[in-house]
Amino acid sequence: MMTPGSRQERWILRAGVLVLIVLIWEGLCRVGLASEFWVSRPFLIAARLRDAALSSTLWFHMGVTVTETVFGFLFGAMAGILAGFALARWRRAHVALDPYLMGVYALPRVALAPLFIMWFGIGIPSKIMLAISIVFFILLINTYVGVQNVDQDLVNAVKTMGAPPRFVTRRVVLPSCVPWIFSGLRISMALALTASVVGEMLAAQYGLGFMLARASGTFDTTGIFMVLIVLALLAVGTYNLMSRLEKRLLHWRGDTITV
Amino acid sequence: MPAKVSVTNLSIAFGATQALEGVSLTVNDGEFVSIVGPSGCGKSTMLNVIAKLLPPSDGSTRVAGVEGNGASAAKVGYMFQKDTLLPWATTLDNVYLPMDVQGVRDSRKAGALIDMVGLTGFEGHFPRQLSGGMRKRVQLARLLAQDPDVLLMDEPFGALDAQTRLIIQEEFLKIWERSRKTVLFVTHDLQEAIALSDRVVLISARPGRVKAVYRVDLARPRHVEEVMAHPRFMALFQEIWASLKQEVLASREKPQ
Repeated sequence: MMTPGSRQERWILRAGVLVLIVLIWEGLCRVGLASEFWVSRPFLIAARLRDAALSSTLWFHMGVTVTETVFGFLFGAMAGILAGFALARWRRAHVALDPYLMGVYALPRVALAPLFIMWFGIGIPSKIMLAISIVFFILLINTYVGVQNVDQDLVNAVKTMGAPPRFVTRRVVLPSCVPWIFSGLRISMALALTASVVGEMLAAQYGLGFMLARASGTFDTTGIFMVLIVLALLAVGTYNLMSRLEKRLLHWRGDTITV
Repeated sequence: MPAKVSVTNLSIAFGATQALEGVSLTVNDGEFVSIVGPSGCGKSTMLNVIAKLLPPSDGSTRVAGVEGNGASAAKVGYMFQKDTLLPWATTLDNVYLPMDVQGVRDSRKAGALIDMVGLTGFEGHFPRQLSGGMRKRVQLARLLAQDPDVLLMDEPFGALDAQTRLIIQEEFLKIWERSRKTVLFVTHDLQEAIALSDRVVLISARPGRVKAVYRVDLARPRHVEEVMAHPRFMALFQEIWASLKQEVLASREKPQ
């Protein structure tokens, strides 16, 4: 296949897909082949989105979800990275904890939501905890594996220059872990958002997940689609942010592989 | 002449495999000594012991008269066969690395070294943006930036294509003849060993022992291509190769 050349061409192609989907969707409803009750209609969704954006409700709920996601992501990531380095440093701790960490890691952690809601209430803290519980383990494992995968030849080369262990850690081990940590961060960002929304759907008074649950409870398909669109935009936005940061920090690798 | 590197009765075993057995050799100050031998005879292992990356099973090594572990590490510069440039550091930062270890960044010296290896203009390039030959040159500059008393080199040019290798050997020889550092050089390439060295040490098939030592009595300064056409070079090559070949064949008969 030919690679579509210019940036402009790419965006025209993409916008074309959007217009096509909207037209088919709207058209199917208008001619009566699809029911508005089940699938709503693009123009209705757009109108709802506009109204919600003009009132403060959408921004308020979005703010709650973003707060939970960001705090869950930051705390979970920091704790996970530190724990990953600690486990790599103290082999004995790793040997002792490995099966338990793997057990919790393998557990679908959204299943912890009911427990966290019991412990931390239906407010923001329980969603942050849920996000942390997911992000922490991803970063822990990625960081640990990153340290294990440090090129031993690089370490030896720097050692033969007479470098003390601290220098080796700072100049060799840390930078070589960065790609691993970043791939963990990229996955974590999306999962922190998922955790917040799932938590809100289960029990909350605010947040996009709460809006989603409420819309579903009242058979408000248009409301559901509106929230989904907002969530998709949020997810794409954060993903782009991470990719940009990664490109910047990892420019020595050339084209970063995005999964 | 004072011995800069001395290896005394060195033995190294990995489990049941005896890599080196009772190896003794000395490298004098300012001398260029090559070690040749069949694959798996423990040549690289010996360098690792001298660089204190591995403990010996028996015997000892001394660098500049200092025995044991940890001491005088900065005096030994080690160039590995594998590319050991930091991939996240530019040419300049890689050359700065040994200076950073020593706590003194000398930008003029770094610039001069980069110039010496012909990489002016590539200071800001990352290793992946450089060719294999250029990366070797950066490693050479980094090695010299460390300003070690002794250079340990483990097949430093082995991974290069034949043409590039010849050019880098020539450049390296020129740089070395100016600085006259003590060099212990491990190679598979007998021509390279003879062309560069003052002495060639032949290690036997496993367990590695010193089988013979040859003095390369070719005048310096040398040029690699010219030296290789010299009758004395050819005589030496035939003499050493006859002996080395036996070891290579012997090592092939043994299980790895």
